[in-house]
Amino acid sequence: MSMLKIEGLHVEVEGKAILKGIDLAIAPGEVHAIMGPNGSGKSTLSHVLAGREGYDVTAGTVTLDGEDLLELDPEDRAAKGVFLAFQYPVEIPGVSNVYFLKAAVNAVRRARGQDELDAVAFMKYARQKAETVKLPKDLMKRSVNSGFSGGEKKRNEIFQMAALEPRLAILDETDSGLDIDALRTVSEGVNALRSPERSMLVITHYQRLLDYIVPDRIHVLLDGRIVKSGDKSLAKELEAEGYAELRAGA
Amino acid sequence: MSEQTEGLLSRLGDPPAGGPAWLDGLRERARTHLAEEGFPGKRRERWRFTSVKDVVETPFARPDAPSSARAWVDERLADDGAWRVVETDGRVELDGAPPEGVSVRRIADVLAEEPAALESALGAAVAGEEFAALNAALFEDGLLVDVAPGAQLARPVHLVHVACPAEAPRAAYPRLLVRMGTGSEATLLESFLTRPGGDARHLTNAVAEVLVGANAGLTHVRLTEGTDDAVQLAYLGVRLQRDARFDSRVVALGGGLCRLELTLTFDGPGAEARLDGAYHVDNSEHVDHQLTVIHRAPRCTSRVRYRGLLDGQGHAVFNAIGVVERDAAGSSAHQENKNLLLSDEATVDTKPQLEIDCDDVTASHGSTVGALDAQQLFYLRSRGVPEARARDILTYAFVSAVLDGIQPEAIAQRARTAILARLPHGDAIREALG
Repeated sequence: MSMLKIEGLHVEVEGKAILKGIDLAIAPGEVHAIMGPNGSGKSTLSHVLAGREGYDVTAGTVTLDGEDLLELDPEDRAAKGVFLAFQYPVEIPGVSNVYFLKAAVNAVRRARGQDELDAVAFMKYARQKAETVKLPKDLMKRSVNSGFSGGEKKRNEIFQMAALEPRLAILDETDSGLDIDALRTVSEGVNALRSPERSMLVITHYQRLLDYIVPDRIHVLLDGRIVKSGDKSLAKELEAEGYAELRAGA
Repeated sequence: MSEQTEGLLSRLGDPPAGGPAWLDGLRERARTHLAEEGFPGKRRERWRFTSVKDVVETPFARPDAPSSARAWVDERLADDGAWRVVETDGRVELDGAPPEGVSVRRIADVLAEEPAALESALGAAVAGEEFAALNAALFEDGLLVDVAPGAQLARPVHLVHVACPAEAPRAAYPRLLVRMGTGSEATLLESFLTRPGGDARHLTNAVAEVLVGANAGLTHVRLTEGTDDAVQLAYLGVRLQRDARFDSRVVALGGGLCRLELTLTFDGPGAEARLDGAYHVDNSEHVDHQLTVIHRAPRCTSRVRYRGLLDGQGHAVFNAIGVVERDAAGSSAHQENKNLLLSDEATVDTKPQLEIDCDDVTASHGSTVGALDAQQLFYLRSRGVPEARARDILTYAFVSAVLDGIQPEAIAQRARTAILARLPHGDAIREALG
């Protein structure tokens, strides 16, 4: 059974059709990549899955483990195991990164019927997760993403992902704006979190990321539709030929 | 002289006697100014939104020597690692030795022992007008802080001002003078607290002057925890020499009337000022900030960022003027005031403005009154934090952001604790984040 199942998804923003019938199924443990040029609807898909405001779903369904996602508030989706790594992580001056994460982890644990972690237990847990994704210690103490470099922000997203242990992780252009060293570090963090119980949807503009996070399937999104799917070799094909050919074909 | 002014001055009694002649002169000029000008009314732009009619009509008396608040303070505040000085209704107690590199003395002692040491400094950064004149006419004691050239203080100095209301209205006139020697660095925390006592109104009319020498840096955290019967009419004057740095964080948590006039002047080139502040009003509280930044020398940078949280029927006033004089080429002057409205009945009057008399300037000013940031809200919710709790956390963050980067952490923590104690659901926020 698929963990994530999207069927016939149509989405509009202010009356304009952005997604025009997406079908996608991701089995447990699989990593799927969605590639596409600017304006193809990649970010809209990630936002709709995470429950951001401002999108009208006009047709179709999205289920996670058989449960309707679209009726849930963002926090309830998080509790069910949805995690979105933001393309542009949000700065929150005034709240330290580690305390922010404690509030999140305990909210999710409460919703999942687990005991909350006290301050001491949480710090131990957070240090261990930071180790997994090699997050520098001083970033835990500073305000959430505030004054972080681009690479630090993306690494912090993966740190949060490690701590929240999602069933489905959506990585929205996690590679954009990163130099090759930062890309490698972030990808290592993501790969460390691959597991048979966790699915991932990696959204990217660039083939380069998929050299580091090697997907099981690749889908090409063009003008709100998936126009081609294939295995990892599709990325190389796209790199060689670009989107123009597919566009002409579509 | 208006009846009001005459009434207040006569009730407050004669100025303290026995000082040096120059001080008698200063006090006399202040009284003359008050007698001629009176206390400000709403016809003056800077007082348009803040009425002091009640204050002027209240029969404030000088306090009899109140019992020391030192024990009360030590019981109430955890050790924050700073060297602590307690001032009770304007009377300073010094206890133990200050950190190496700083001399801390009672102004009353200095006036008695070597008054010449203060002659050119008192009144150098705060003009003797309005309520600053009242302080000049009547202050008896205060604190003189001299940081030695090149000294870097290992511990912050924490000056705790305690207002002690009684059965009849009382007033206190604290005075502070800080002189940072060339190349010195220090952190100063000032807290304004009220020790519960009688129910009468209490006026704290504080004047602080800060003179920062060349290439010296002072971090100044100023925290006021207001009460309904507390009136604070305070002045903070800052003068910066060449390449000096002043990092100011003002946290004003309510009060029946809490007003701060902060005036900063760049006297030498290449200096930098960060003026951050946060205020919170609830019920019928009134908090007023008046900032003036004067770029007199070239290549100086000022950044004013104040944030307000408005609840209940609270009223906040924010007014900032950035003046760039003709010779201040290469100045950078920015002013921003953001407000978050939590209640339909709360109000804010905000007016950041610039007066620029020089071509070579980078400047901006703006103010907003709005709601929580939708992106931040979605970010928290996408991490599993329920909406109501996410709103609480962001409301807290909006105010506490003013403390970002303050070291040592214990100082910032002390202010955060005070913020949480006032906010709706503060306990829940503390539990979620602590």
